[in-house]
Amino acid sequence: MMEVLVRMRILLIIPAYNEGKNIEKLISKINSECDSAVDILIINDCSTDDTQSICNDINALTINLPCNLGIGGAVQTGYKYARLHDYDIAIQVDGDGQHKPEYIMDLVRYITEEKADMVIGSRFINKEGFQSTFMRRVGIAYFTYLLKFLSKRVITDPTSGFRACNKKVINEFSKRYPVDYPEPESIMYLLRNGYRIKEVPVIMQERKEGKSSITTFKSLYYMLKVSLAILIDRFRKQIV
Amino acid sequence: MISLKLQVILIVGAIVCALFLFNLIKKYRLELKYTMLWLILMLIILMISIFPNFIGFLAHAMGIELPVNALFLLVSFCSYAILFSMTINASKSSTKVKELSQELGLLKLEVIRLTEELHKKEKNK
Repeated sequence: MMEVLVRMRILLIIPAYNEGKNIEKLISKINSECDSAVDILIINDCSTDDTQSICNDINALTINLPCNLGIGGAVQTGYKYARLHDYDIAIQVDGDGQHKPEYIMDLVRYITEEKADMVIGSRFINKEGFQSTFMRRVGIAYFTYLLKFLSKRVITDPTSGFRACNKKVINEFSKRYPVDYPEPESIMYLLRNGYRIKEVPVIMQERKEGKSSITTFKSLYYMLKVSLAILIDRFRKQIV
Repeated sequence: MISLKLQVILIVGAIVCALFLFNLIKKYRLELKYTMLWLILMLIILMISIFPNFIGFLAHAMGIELPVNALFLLVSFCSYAILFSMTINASKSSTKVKELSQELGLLKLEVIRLTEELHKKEKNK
């Protein structure tokens, strides 16, 4: 097991938008959990707070984007970096401390054992820890049913941003990745192209500081937009 | 009310346009984000042509004599909404291009400085 890990090059992609209060704790926790098995890359999506200077202080590898691209564009920057530097595994972890670093190696194990091309950390398998608000859960269940209807596959937590993927998927994502609220659409994209997706149970935390970037008014618009995007993607044949 | 002829033209037109948009998105030539308003406009037109009573009601409420005129007013209003959203997007994009160009210019300067320093060091060796 350890040997495999040593040979594998693993990149941790952390998209951060105004996460100055969370990022330092997160990085130190990751360092203590994962040792030097992984490289950490923070994508600072043009934050207006002190995220940049904090990342600089703790000497973390950071890409400071000159314009705000939104979560999709920020994460894709990470995948492009992973591709450029020939990483074997890329893992997405949100910058707000929702995702516990303890589970990173669980996700990695599935990839190294080649059980899946992408592994999603799901909070709804064991239903432990922070389960999100009621409205959010309704939205998530809706996407689960939509994906099940269109692809015949059950993904219990399609909006989870806690994901690991192998080299093939890194290549796909660096070519094409949806822009805002990208997770459900990218799952459809992978399923359509015949990639294997697995879920592992994780426990998530409520975000510590700051607000979630999705407001109530916007969420309805996003539901509609993402549904349409998934539906249209279902009708695409091959990657162009 | 609107005539049956106009009703059919509107329905066919809206469906053809929606399919055209759908196809372009499918081919990755349109971004869904900027197509949403067009799709909503087509949905409105479709709704009105299927339920023409609505436009009669609207015309009456607004004090317009002919329902067709209310339809024109509504559609031109929607077009202005789309135009305005385009203006917003153009402004956002131009700001981003400016930021990017500045960043690129700064980076270029840094690269030139670094290569010059490297050359100097090599000469000194």
